[in-house]
Amino acid sequence: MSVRNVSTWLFLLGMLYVTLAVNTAFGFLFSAKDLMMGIVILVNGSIYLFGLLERVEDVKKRTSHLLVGSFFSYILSIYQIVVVFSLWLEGFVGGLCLLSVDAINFPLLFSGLLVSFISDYLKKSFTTT
Amino acid sequence: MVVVIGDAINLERSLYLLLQVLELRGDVVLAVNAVDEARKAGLEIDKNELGKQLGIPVVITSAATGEGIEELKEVLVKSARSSSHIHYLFSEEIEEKIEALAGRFRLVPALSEFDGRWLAIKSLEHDNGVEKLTGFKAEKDFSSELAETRYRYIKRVLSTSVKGKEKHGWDLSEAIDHVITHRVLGIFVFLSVIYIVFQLTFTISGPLSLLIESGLESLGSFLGNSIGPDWLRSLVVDGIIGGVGAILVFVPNIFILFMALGVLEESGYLPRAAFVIDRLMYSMKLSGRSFISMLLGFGCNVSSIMSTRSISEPKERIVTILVSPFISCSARLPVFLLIAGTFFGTKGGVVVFFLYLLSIVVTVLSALIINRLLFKGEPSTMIMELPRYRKPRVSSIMFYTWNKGRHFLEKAGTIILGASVVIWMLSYFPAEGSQSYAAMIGRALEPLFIPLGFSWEMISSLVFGVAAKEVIVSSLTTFYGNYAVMGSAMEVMRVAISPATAFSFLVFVLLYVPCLPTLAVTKNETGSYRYVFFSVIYSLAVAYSVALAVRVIGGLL
Repeated sequence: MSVRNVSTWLFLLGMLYVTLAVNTAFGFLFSAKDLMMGIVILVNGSIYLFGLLERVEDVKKRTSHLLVGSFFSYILSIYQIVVVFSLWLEGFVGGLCLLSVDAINFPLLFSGLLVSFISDYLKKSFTTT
Repeated sequence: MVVVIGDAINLERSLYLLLQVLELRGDVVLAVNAVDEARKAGLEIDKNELGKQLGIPVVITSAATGEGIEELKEVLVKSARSSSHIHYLFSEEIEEKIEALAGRFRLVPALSEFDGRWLAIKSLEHDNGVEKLTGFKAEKDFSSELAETRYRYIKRVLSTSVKGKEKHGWDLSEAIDHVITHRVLGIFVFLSVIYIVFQLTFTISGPLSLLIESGLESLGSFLGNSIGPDWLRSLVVDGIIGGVGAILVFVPNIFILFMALGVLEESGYLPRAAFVIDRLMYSMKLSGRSFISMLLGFGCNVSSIMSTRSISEPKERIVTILVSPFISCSARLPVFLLIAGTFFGTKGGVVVFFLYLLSIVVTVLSALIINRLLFKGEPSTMIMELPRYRKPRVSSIMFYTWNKGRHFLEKAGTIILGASVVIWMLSYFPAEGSQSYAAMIGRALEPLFIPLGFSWEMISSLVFGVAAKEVIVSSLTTFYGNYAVMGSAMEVMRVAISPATAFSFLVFVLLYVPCLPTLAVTKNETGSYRYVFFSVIYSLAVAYSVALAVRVIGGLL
């Protein structure tokens, strides 16, 4: 991936995750209000944005931020799936329905799953020793 | 017989350790492990050539795939004892010194069981242990000259026995480390990871705990209906099932926590966390080595204190021993989960995360205070080799989880079972509830806890919790269970205790006196009761002050 593409992705994903962080912290859209989770998503956003602080010619360093940031986003997505599944199971065991659209946090869940393709693609640009 | 296990990818560094062992003794077998990863990286290791050059048996193994393990066993059975032998010579000047010193040491009867050449080499390296043993200190430190010779020899050996790709550019581990060990981001990523771990512990275990709880309730009501005498029914249902069952409900939480920590360790993230925290620790006059000891404290404070043996600086070791009990061990987790779940519902995970964060903050601040007040020690330097990132294997994680978690089950079947019976007796005799011996103990201490707002039930459970922290859960459920005509002990607690007092109680449980096994190991490791008394008094003072602050601030909010 060229340095220009890496920088564009870093900026776009950084902004996306800062927005998701605000959305989760205040519970604006399809998300329950969760300040702590908002902070965790903000950390994810800053992994991308810190990549933009690396020197432009240092493409490997910028790519590292995109790689780790996108993997972290993927982990957050998986975490969200596990939470949703546990809520469903707990409700099932207790004979209740604990799931709601807000509890699922669709924006976070889908963003992470989509971003995981970037992580997968970038892994190939590094050797595995 | 010694087996040196080398890393196939970092064979150069592994051979350095091997050479040091070979300077001491000759009956050594080299197992070159992780050969599957080396092959993936394009490395080819000629074990026959390596064995020929080193003069010892070499076996190529992979712990992950099981390759070479049988061969290693066979080689071990066949190998014979032998004394050390010389593989390489140092410079003329150093060899002369070694010979002179070795001759001198051979004449000392007390040193007859040691190899003279090895003692001489170690003396020239300014090895503290050998200097104490021989009573000799070389004028000049020859460590770097000796190391250079060893590395020259290793390079020569590897040039003929290992073939493979030259490394170009960054590998995946380096790329990940650039971000994960970042000066600023590293700390925040670490905190985020720990937060997710605790949230998962709280969330995933929810349905499993619910199943165990309903199973125990059914068992309790079945036995309650089957047993005739009132006292025996109360002992079995309220004492044993109520007490031990209250702990068993949290088994899924404990196992999930260890599973998550297992994933972090297997993947190679935990050593990075130690590296990231090292900078912070150094400012508190501690090193990342202390952090590794403290990290073990999340499992059990006893193992954490025992692991401080690896800290070479005595003052740093004592400080680490004194502050390690502040790290929240797994025994405290059931108490946190019971109270946090009862009073803070779905936000329980956040409360537990904050308690763990508080435990780290108090540990670090205490280290700073104790260092300033008692010692003026300098931290030892930490050199650690960061392992490669690996995809965690399910079998390893299961083994790790079971190995750590089974102690909790063993404890539930022994100490906690015994303690539950004792607690039941104390709460049942001479009369049930507020006239019991347990109530008398709690009431006697009640005046001290008026500022914190703790009831006698809470105080008595704290007293019993000194034996093992999980006992607090059994005690609370037994004491509050006595009042529960309808509903559970937790429902009674929710009515009797305010959320601010509950949070203050959690903080007190986190920070107050270490459990008896921890105090015993503190005595053993420091060799003095002075540090045990200090630990008890200091932790009580810290627990009381912080819990009081929490209660006052909570009351204002």
